Amino acid sequence: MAEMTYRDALNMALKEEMRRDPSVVVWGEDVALYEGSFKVTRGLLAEFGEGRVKDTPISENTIVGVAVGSALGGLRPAVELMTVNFALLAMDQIINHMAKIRSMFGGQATLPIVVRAPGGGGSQLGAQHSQSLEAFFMHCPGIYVAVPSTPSDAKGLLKSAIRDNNPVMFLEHELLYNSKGEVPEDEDFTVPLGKAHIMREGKDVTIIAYSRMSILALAAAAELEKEGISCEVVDLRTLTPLDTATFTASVKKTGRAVVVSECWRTCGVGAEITSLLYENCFDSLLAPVQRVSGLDVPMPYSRKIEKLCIPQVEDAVKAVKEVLSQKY
Amino acid sequence: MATEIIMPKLSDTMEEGVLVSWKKSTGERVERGDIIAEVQTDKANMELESFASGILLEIRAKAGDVVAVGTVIAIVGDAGEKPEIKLAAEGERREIAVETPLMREEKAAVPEQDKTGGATGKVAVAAAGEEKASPLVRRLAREKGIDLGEVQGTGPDGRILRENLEKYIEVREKAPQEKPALPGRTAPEVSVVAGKPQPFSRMRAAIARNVTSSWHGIPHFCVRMSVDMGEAEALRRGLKERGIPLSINDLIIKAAAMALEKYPVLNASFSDEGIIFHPETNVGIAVSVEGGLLVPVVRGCEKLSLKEIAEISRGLIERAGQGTISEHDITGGTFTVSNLGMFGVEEFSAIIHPNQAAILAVAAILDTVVIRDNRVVNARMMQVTLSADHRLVDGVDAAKFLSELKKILETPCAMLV
Repeated sequence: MAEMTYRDALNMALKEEMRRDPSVVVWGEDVALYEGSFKVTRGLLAEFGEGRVKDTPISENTIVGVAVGSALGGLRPAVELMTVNFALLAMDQIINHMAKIRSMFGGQATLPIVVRAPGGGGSQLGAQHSQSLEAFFMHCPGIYVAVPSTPSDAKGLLKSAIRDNNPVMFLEHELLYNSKGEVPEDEDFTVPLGKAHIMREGKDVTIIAYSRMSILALAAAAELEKEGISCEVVDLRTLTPLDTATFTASVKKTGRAVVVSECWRTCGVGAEITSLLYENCFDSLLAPVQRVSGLDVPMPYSRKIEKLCIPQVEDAVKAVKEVLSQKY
Repeated sequence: MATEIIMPKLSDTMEEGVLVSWKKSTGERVERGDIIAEVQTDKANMELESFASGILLEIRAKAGDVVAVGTVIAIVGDAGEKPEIKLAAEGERREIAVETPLMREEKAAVPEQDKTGGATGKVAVAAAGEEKASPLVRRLAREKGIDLGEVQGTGPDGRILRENLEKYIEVREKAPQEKPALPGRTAPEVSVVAGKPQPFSRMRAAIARNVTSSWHGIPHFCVRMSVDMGEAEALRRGLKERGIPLSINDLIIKAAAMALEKYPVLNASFSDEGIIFHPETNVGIAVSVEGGLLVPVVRGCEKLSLKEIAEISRGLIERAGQGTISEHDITGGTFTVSNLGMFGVEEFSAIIHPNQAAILAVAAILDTVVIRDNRVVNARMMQVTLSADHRLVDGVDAAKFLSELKKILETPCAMLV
């Protein structure tokens, strides 16, 4: 184990997998010479050379399209989109090709692709560069969606994603790159896709979250503990496959749930999780499930207003108190 | 801020209650849900829970006082706080709404607290099956076989919280062992002085009120008939041997329910606007208890088998005897059976219960000489007398009902199908 940042954990995963399997290749905008806009691909060009690490033109549709083609030809591309906001330019390749080819060809072809994309808000980057688009990908069958919250999960999930024969949208959070945590240095360490993580056990209420919102949920739980409220925090780790069994079991235990997601509220991840809770835990619920989410607005630039649009610790605290109120 | 604690209206007929005792004294800290006093209604003793947390600032009714529903009996607030609430003038009371007969076990209903912290005193009651409760509370109730209609909720609009249900279960499970005071027993004790009026127990006063209003308000007439109970007794013995114990009274309830199905006009209520037919046949059984009479109700008899009727009535009679009967158990009757057979009574007539059309008075089964097929034989005969409301029915209706009842009891296998 070593303490390292989320960024370095991802870098370690890429390096280990490229060493392990020569068919793993990396490309994207500024990933080679500049070593990535967020420095996740630092050292890759030097170690693996131009044949396996390439800078691309500013064309996201090409980045994903070439990944689809080369995956069909036998490579395992782990490509980078500079931010998830630009994935919108590659949606045709992602949704119409990457997500569908395996089933359209009856499983004759596999698409072992990882599309890494940083996202999330909170850095005053304005409406077009502060989005959390995971619900778009979660909505579409045929692709996995990974949303790591800790350095250790970032490494373990990325390694699993690269080794998996299904295409994976690997969504990193820009505000987590500098977060630190213990990470196993073991090259065989992986975190399976589709297995949620109970980050903290509790008995009064279950907070379900992912990515940076899991870290926020832990902070809320710590705050609530001071008031004698015991929160269980379930980190989903991947949205597809979704580990429904783990979070429903937790809610059956606590009887109350708060779902925290950074994406927009309407048709968001929280809506899906909430539906699953009503379908699976109806008889165990003591109170309506509460959603904490980003507001349904294009992100404002102003720091103060931006903060109002992204879930904060106090929003999660408030939601927990609401489901625990005397009303139910 | 200070909160008024009022005398709650704990049943549809309750107009006043006796403050039996205070469980907390002035200056003491009380938490929401704490039992602060014991109150006797016209039906049962109930514990009064505080619906606010704070210091019991003031007590306005002494133990033993008879207090009208809605009267402020105590003030709960912060230490040192002067009750802001205007002092209620002597005898002043709040309007209290109770929409339907309320249940509510031994636990007192806790008046809902409004947003400002003041008590509205309104106890919200939902129609059967429409009680507010979370899915989890509903499941627990289902698993435990509890009718949520019997549980008093303390959440907003009377929502039944898990703690309400848990407390109800606790009380219910404890009930048979403990001895909650028999209704009518814990009235303030008075020394008996010959020639001086003794205050009525709540129950006695309630009975007096009800029979007076029935007797004055309902034009009664009585029709009597003899029933040969030989076959019914044989059936009862046969079932008992097969491990299904039931009483003659259970057979009569079942037979009456079947006859009422054929003559629904006797399962009805009189109102100024017209006759109100009841979709359910809820048969009350008059049960003598210390200090008076209770009439627990077997609900939905038209849908119940003989065995089910026997089980339900056994439970009701048991609870009535123990004084653990709930308000719900003794409300909602649509017809009543009063049986004095166990005392060897040869015949009697009964007074109709308010809002019902008739009452069946059942006497003892006696060895009687009868002539059958020109031969003198011994038969097991029972007299039944139907008192009916002449505004709703005529003699012929009562006679037809009794003939049907007689036919069923004399060919009792009809009750098994």
